[in-house]
Amino acid sequence: MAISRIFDLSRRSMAWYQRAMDATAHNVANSSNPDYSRQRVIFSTERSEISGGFIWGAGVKIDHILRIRDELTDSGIRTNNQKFYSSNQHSTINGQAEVLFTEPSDLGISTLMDSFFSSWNELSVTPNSSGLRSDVIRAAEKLASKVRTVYEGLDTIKGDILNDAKAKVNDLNNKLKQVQQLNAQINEASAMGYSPNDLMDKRDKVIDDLSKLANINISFDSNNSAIISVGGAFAADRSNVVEFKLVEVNGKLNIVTSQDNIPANISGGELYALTDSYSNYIPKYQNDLDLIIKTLVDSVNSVHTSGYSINNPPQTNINFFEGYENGVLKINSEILLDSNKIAISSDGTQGNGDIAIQIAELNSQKLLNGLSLSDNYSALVSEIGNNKLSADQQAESSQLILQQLEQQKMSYSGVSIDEEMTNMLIFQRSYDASAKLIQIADEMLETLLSLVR
Amino acid sequence: MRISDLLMSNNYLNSMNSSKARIERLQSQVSSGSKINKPSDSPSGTSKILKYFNKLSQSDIYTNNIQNSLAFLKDTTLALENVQSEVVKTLTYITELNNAANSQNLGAFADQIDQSLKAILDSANSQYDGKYLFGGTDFSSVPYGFTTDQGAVEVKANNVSGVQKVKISQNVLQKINLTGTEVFGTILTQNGNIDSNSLVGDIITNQLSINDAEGNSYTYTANYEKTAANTYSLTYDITDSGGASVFSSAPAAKSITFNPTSGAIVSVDGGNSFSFNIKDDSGKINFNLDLNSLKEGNNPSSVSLSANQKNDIFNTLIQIRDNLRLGIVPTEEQENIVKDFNKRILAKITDAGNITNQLYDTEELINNQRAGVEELLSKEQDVDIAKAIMELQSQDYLLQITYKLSAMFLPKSLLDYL
Repeated sequence: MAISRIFDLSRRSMAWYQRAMDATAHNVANSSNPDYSRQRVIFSTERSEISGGFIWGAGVKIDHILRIRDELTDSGIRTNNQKFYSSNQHSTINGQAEVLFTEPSDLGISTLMDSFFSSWNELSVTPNSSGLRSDVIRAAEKLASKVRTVYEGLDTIKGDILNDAKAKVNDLNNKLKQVQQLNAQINEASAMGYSPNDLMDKRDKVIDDLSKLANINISFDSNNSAIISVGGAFAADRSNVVEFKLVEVNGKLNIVTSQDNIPANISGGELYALTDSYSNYIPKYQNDLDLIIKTLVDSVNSVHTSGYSINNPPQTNINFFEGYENGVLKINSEILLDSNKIAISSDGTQGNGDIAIQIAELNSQKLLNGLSLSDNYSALVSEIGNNKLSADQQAESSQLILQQLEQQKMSYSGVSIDEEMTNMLIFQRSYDASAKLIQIADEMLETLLSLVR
Repeated sequence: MRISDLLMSNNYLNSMNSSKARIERLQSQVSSGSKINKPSDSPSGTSKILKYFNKLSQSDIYTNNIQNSLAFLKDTTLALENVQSEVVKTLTYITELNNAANSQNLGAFADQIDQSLKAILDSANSQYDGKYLFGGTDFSSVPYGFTTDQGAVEVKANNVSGVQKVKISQNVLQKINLTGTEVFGTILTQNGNIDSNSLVGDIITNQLSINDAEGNSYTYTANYEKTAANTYSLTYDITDSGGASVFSSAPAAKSITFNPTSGAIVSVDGGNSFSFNIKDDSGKINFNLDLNSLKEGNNPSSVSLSANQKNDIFNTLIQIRDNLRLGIVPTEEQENIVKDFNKRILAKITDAGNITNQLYDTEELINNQRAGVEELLSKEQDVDIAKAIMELQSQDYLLQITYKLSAMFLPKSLLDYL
């Protein structure tokens, strides 16, 4: 057996330990990269030799570089991403809506509606006072302007949602394309016998991002390619990718495939919150508000038409409100010009305010859904508050789970500097030892050579 | 468990964030003084707060209405007291006139009475906040004024019997004015019983002699004709001494219905006001007909009419004044009219006082209710500042510990010792 074998074996192990140091350096370099999975060098023994009736170990080699990743944690994170991001988005949208109503405060519709009815009550005491008559008009105008602000604010939210949803669908399409490309690259590398760890990290990150957008389903084929479906509709694999688009049908926002219009049943992620709010929540808020204001208009008008104005000669059958549509509450333009046309006298005399009392009493009458108008309104406001609160609570609970899963992932896949430093010391020692062996072998050779002299 | 560096820093960030979120919530509560700043802070609390706001705004308006009505009633009482003191003066003059020694000065007394008449007329026309105190609800003209020939005082407005009602609580609609008719006017009261067994087509007739503003005598005739069970048609006419009607066209008939069991009146022309104004084309005959006491019953019909006064105070004073100028002292009948009017005014002052008391009582009730609602609102809305500050301090303490610990452990690794 030649001494040169020691040289050979030690040289190779020095090379391997240098590579192992490379892997450690890669880990340390990515220690702050949250999407990185630590890589571990798996050593194994080199193929041994048989000589002289013995099996001689031939040293060490790197078998492969292992990416440390737990599929179960990944899938848990993705499921909870869908829940968290949809709840969070719901909460944001409902938060924007509730702010519009500025309740509970003196500036909300509730107070303005109260002061509208109060102004009638006050007018009934001095029905011929032009000051109090203008107060009624002013109170109605304030109410109208707030109703309009709220209604248009809801419209703006709807518009914002639509823009946001468009951007998110673009994002979805881009990410699906990336998955398909990464699938192809990973497949290529695997076929050549490499383990494309960093590409897989990248793909995992893109899939994580997809799960924030919509409810996706992920499976892996035998070539380790990810097959993705979005809301039950096939979206991407190694060779194909499908584009999605937004369509609006009867005020409902849906996501379908661009080519074949196959609907995706979106039930998670931000896109769910966006389409759901656009199709259901915001229209319901607008509808409820419409119903309350329409009832107000109709009931005030129906009482007001029975009264007499105090201009000469007294007129009757005058509407107080011209009408209400799409958030715009209009006061009769004749009344705006001449407050004497407010018709609150039941018999045509100036001092009679019976009709004003009847209008003021509307405030406590159960005009809609068996409740008074202000109760209907506070039900609407607390519904929005409730929707926001329950979305917050759902988001909070899935966030807690997400945090735990992230912790698990970081515990399992994250880089520990201490560990890497320890590995570094080990590899360095092994490297040093191998070098020492070469030195010793050299001395042995020298000894041998000196014998010859 | 394997501890990686990202795990440590994330852990630290999470706990610091939740600590800061709690601090933020407490801090916004303390600085706004309100537990509920947006509906999602407490949806059910928001709905309660809105309800309390609604109640408070209503009690505000009721208090306002009451204050306004009290001022109106104060003026009403003042005006009535003025009227009463003038009437007392007049009665003194009349008593003095009984003394023969004064017969030389009848003209001077006539002037005094004229002064009182004008003062009473002035009070009768007084206003509060653009509303005539005794003008009912018709403010189109001054309630009372002289006829063009200055010979009599007549009602200038179309109707001085309108009732001003004010809502002073959820369920109470309070009448706050004393109408001109109540105070100065003539009210004909229809009493008695209409036989419910009479046949359809049967007519019951009732008559009463009434005076116009100048003291001329007329006859008021009312006919109740049965048109159906419990239903009668009232037609009426006013004729002068020659039998000629004062109306250019006959007034419209009124349909009256009675409750079949109790016999009480239930409607006049479908409405529930059982008192209405009757006047002639010139306006000199002007009185209210009150049907509240009219009933239907089994007994034979016994319908009767009565009037609270023959001549009103203004025209009685005018007659006394004019007679004095002609050298005639007031008659006992005239003196009685003035005395009756004095009693009536005193009664009306009491009425105004009663309404005032009623308003004060209601105001106190509303204030009590208001205090209750305010307490509930405060419970729902207000922050217990002391408690919030304590919590804030303990959260601040926790946050500081988090900072300190992370500053101790996060930067360390094996690297420092190699």
